[in-house]
Amino acid sequence: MNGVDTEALAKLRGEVRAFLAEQLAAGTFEPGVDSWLAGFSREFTRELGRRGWIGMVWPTEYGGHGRTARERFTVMEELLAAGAPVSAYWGGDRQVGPSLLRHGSEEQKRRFLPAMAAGETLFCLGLSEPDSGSDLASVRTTATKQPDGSWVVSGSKLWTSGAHHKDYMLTLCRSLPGATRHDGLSQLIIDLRAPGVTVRPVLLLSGEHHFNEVFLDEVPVPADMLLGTENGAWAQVSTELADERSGPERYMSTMMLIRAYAEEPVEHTRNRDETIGSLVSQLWSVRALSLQVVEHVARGETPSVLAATSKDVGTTFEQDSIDIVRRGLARPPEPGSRLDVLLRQGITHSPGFTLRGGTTQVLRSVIAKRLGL
Amino acid sequence: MNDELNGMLTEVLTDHCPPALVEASEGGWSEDLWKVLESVGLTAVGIPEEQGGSGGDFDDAVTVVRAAARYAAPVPLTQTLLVAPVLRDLFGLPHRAGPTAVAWTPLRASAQGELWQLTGTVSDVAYAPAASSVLLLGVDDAGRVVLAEVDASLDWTVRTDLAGEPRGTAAIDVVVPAAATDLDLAAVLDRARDAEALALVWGMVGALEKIEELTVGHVTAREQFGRPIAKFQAVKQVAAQIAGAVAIARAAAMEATAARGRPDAAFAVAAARARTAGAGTDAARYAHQLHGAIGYTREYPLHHYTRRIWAWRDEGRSAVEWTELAGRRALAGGADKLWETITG
Repeated sequence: MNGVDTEALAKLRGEVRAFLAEQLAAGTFEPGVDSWLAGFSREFTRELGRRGWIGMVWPTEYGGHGRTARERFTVMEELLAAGAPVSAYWGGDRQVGPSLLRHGSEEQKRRFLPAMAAGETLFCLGLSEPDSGSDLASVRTTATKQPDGSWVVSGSKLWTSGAHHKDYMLTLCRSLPGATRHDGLSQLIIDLRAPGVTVRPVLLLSGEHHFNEVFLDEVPVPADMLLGTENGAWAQVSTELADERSGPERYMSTMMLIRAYAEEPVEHTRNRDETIGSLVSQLWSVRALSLQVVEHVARGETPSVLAATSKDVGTTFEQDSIDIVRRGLARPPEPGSRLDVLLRQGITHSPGFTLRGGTTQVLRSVIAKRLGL
Repeated sequence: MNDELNGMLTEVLTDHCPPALVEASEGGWSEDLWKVLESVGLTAVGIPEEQGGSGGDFDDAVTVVRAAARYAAPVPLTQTLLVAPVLRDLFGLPHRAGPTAVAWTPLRASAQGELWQLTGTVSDVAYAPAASSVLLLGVDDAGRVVLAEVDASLDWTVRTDLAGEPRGTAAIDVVVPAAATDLDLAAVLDRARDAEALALVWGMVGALEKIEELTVGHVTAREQFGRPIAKFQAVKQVAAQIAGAVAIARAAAMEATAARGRPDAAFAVAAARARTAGAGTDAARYAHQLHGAIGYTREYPLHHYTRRIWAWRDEGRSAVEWTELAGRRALAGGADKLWETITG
């Protein structure tokens, strides 16, 4: 890539790999499929914070590390390739941090960003609602402004990953009574320990608990927890969604399964070269596309269509990869074996790959619009 | 990409490679187009000026191949600009101007003093009837590999491939100067096939870009049920998938080009070749679906591009062979080093 210090990147990559090898040897985590949704560890997250691998691109004055987007990408992909438990901070690093930097008050930035970069304070996103999925402009959770400027929030948020573990929820609310669609929306930072907050598990079809429904029953929110412009959150959220789309997690969710397949004894496989070739040529290509997005962002552009394309192709590959692995096995994996566990995780998690962060249908509509259709 | 070069290519090809010329050249080639391209130096891009070329680098040469594919140009630029120079370099042969064909079938070689006798049959040589010279590979009894570049005016039996491009088969019995190499035949073929693969990848990118353009144009203009079919969600979704296929093919091509000279270069070429073959297959199917019946008529130009993609995806080595090669090359460092290979 142009303008990339390959030597510095290789050094950083080596550091992350060495760290992960140490952690694996110490048994601090069990590598899994979809670890950016399913792998939660406060300790591991703090360890990453200590090493400067959270908030890497944030300014140093807010606890960040002033690194490049390419460096951040490198750390992210290494963590994903190892199936490391990164879900605790992933959304905070990807969306909440950048949003705070863009729209937050000086006080908010000083209060939250250093703690997030240290891996101490964990955020989740409160966007979807029971009646508001792909159509975010239909949110009904209300924020009612009080005479003293504070807010009272009522409603419910759905699919909030890890809300049961986390500290704050960046919440999209209807703050202007009577407003519809893109108007009258505000983002509030809600303390998940505040009175009136109830978290109900919404189990995945596998039985795992990652998703939640967060009920907000007249939750008091201080005035200084409004993020950005009152009634102007739509533009803020749109940028956040673009941030969300094109990272390595959009094609690496099944990387542990692919690696495990490659390490299977040859006699357990069929058409091994073709299977590996198909997996890696697709993964490698979508990585190249994702890196193009990083380059565009580094140049100060907002490549929302390229990001949407990258996510569409990447997440479709994630789903395909499971079937490619299945076809490449001579027989079903040994029950309870590592491959068996990873395959089962892959299969049960796969429906979510093309839903989260903008469904395939929404992404393709975005792309078609760019084509002029 | 070199924008100035690309602009020049677009101008020249728009003027001199219209759909009618492509159609008229079916099964043959266009010498007129070649002469126009030659007159502005486009048939020797990427070959150093001191060797008699037009200068420019590898990126410039693939820019030419990609643009030519966008116009389905019936001329042997892939072979001339990207395959022949690699073979000549491997054997230390000088550059030779003019349309060049590459015969992949190894001939029987035997030394005759300073010269070499080459005998056998070369089959299915792309653009053989169009070429002014053809590169011949020979192997002697000791396994030594030689390369000769001879005048292509041979007695070719010509057939037309899926893309409508001409291929020739000819019996060879010549005594000619040839250059030898220390590499064995497999190594020579691997290098040359890798070069061809990267050229084909860029050709597919060009053809894919044209397919996207034709499809967007068609669904916007074509009205059914009282409105342009582009207004239907089902149509938009498929059009977006074509855009995805084009984007992924382009990204793979760029990445494989950037990997040249690096340790992961051979893997990258195989991966890009396998991936663009898949993207081409998908996009061709979607484009025909959205075009409806007109798209699979002779009179509408889509077939010039889809037929090329169908042919090129299995040209030289098939898409499946390239997929297997990508797998073998990815695993070459050990199964536990798979990820390290992907990151280059």
